[in-house]
Amino acid sequence: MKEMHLTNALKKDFPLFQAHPELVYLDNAATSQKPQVVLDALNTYYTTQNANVHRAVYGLAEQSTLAYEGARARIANHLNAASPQELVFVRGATEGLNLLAWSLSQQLLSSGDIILVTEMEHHANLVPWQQAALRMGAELVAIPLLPDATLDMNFLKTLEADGRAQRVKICAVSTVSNAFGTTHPLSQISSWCKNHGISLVVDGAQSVPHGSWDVQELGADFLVFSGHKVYGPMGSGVVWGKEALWDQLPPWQTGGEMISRVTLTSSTWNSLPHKFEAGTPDVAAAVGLAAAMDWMVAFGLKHIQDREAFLSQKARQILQEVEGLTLIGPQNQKHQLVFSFTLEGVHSHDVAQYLDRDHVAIRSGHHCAQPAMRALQLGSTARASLALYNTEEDLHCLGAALQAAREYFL
Amino acid sequence: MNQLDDLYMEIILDHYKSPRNKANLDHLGDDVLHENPSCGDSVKLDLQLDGENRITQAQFDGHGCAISTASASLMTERLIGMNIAEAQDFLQLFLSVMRGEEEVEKLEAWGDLEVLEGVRKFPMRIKCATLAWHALESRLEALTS
Repeated sequence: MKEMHLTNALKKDFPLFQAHPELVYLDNAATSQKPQVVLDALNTYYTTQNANVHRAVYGLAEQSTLAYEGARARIANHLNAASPQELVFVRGATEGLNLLAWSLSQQLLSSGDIILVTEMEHHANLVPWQQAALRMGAELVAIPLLPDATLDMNFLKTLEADGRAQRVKICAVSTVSNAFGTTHPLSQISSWCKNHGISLVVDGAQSVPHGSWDVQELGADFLVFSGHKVYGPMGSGVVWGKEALWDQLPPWQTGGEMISRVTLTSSTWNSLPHKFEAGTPDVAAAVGLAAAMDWMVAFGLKHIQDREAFLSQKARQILQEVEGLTLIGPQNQKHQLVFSFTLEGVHSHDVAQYLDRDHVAIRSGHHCAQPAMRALQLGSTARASLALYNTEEDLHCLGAALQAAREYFL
Repeated sequence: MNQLDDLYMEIILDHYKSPRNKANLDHLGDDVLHENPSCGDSVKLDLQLDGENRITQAQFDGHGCAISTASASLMTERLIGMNIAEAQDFLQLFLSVMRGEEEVEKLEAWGDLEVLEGVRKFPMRIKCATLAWHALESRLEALTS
């Protein structure tokens, strides 16, 4: 392991850690804390630029529109998108996936078709597809989990052998499991989808926060992520899609801004990306998300990845040393930022409650992945998830608190 | 430390480690399974009555945290010997105390159950403490309908 010394210096950029200096925040898979530059961007927008976007002719509205469209262009650039029009702003990954589940299924699905997901998806990348399948008379099929919380990729061969592969029209998978931290073999899934002419939707909620951004390398048709997990504001999120595909899709929500011409009996749609952004957007959220991604670039994506790789290995080492702790998930994955575990004899809720006394914030429960938990016969697990501001000291606090929790309840 | 010790009183930890009236209730279908959707905890409750509608046996099954397990264990201990009307009053009183609508002293008559008072300081855990009681609520409704 490359030795690093991670100090608390980075936490100084995050006002929440000034307000709670004792906090060891390890629930980053749920949401990240926000750096000062993001809060400043929100404040600047509301104090100097706030007006509704796109239609008004006065100067302030033009500034607001520039701020909003500028944010779109900066994020598109960070993602290496072909053009800013390929980005639609949404409230978060859940809303983005609902948009795609609606519009893509309307466009692509007929009765008897298949939507392929995995058994390990967050409910946000499962329930919208399940409901779309019900609506369209299609079938939802899931790539099953193996006992080590990785995907059973042989299942794709089963689909080919029994002919179901021909019926798959949409595949929706996450890059990384929010419940177990498993990195899925996306390039393999992507080539399989290409070979079978399947539209691939990728839920990047757990990978975009760690700097995996390049949509040209992704090999997917759509990428969805939440801004609030990427150091950006709550209520920010993005759906990226290839322009040619976006163009074919029917709108999801309708109303103001997304129209071109409206009569009492019919409407035509605005151009991309506005066709998918009905109503007044959360301009500040978009501006804040662009500031967050700019901040990450200034810090250095490579630097982030090195730092997080170090944290990942330290975390595994420290967790493995805790008596009675069982890590759930891949045992040899090098880069892992979500760790799910059980502590013998102590329910995960009680683990999390005990850790809170020591100011260590972790998650407990089913992590919005009930089918995955059921497949592994787990009621609930405790989950610690890392971000780039975490330090070795945070991880030592976690280890010590877990050891103490076990002693308390035994 | 004090706050945490208020939550995990010794009696609660004792009932968690050695729950009373816990039994395998696999023969009861999943339709009587009560789940806490926010955490995945679940409980099943079985009541046996005599000819005079008095509870002769109360058993629970499921998995849960220290709070939900201890609460189920304490609840079943108290239920044995009650008739349905008494069980309904008992249920309502407990839920009111957990909602903060009734003083915790009202639980004094029910002995050890009072230790669940500490849960009120941890609003996120109240649903752990009430899980088994909601199972009781449906069971009593089924018995009286």
